[in-house]
Amino acid sequence: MTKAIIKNGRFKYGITLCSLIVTFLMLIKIEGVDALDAVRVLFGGYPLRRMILILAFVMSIALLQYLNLDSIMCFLRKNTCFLIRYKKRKTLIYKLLKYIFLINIVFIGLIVIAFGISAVVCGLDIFGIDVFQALELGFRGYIMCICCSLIQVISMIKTDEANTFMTMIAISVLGVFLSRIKIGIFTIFPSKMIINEMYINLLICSLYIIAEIYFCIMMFQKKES
Amino acid sequence: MHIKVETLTKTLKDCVVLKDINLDFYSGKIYGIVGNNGSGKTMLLRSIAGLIRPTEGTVSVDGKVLHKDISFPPEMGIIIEKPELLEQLSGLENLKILADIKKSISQEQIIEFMKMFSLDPYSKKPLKKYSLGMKQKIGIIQAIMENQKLLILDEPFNALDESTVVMLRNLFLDYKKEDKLIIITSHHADDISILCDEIVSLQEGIMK
Repeated sequence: MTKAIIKNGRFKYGITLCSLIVTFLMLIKIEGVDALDAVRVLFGGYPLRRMILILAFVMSIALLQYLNLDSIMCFLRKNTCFLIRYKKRKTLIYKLLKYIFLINIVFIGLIVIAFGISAVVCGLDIFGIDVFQALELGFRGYIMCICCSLIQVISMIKTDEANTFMTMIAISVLGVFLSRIKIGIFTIFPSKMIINEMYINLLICSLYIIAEIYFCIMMFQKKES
Repeated sequence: MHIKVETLTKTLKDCVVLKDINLDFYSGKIYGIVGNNGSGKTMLLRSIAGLIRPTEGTVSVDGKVLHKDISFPPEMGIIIEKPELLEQLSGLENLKILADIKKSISQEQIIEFMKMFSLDPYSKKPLKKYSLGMKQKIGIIQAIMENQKLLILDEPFNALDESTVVMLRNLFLDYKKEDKLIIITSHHADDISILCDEIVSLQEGIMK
């Protein structure tokens, strides 16, 4: 099933990869953003003051929900054939969450590939990048994506596709505002922090994720098909 | 298998969609539910399948109450509206995904079912390019392929060609002989009169 879920999204991965490459090239070549900061822009951890940075961030959230959509539709909407086979709503939502976590890994992988291709095209020295900083950014970016994806799932349980799309747009706009003000360790976006703050931030983000998962399960169990 | 529906009432936001329904369904019979659009046919099927909670009353399967003792009737195959499957994968791949959950049938058996419904199991065509009738066939196959004892089928003949309708009617009559319980809804009087042993008529959520 895992293989099938990944295979089902193959065309979307191509579109996402192309979009990310274009975005990176635009950020690095035209806007002159530093290599790792270009990744940080996509995750909303960089002060998004210029229109082009705002658009790049909003697009990355849109791409993320685009990748998640098929699995969410399959498991949450018209899902009777899955529901009667898994026999419990709880099992079905666990399966969906598992695939959401997996798709988010794929999304991070696509960002890494797009970044690598863009860096080569722009003639950047990839080996000169601080590995620890890159790993930290990738991990915290993943956590941010999970938080946003779970909001998408909650919204899809409660409402429909159109409302969920608007909710995610609202989340992106909120992210743009939050990137400009300092909310310190309580942010889900991977802004630059000192190491101790970062650990506390990771702990807080984990609590957000646990709370979101709890809401997903509770709401889905109450939902009727 | 014995399904007992007792004083079933379902309201959605102050609108009564099913009112005081009392029914008994037994294995080895085909039941037809008829009624106009919006009469509550699909809602009744959903209630029997355990997909919605009754506002009042109960649905029990062999004495076990749905939502209390069990979540869903055991060994149930169901088609209610078009199932949302993975659109980029082929029909066979989608059926394999569903079959893998219970692991009760092999790929060869799925292929046999697809051939029976005149679908090419080896076609790489993604589900999103299937016609309405082909998607309906996939929906019916997933409902019957695991030799379920209870079949709940909402408008199973919709969008099917005449030869498939005839084949499916015969298949349901064979299933009846195998002591399966089948509950169907249909807008076509022929389907109901040829197949069904008992007919339940609904009008604005009330049994007539």
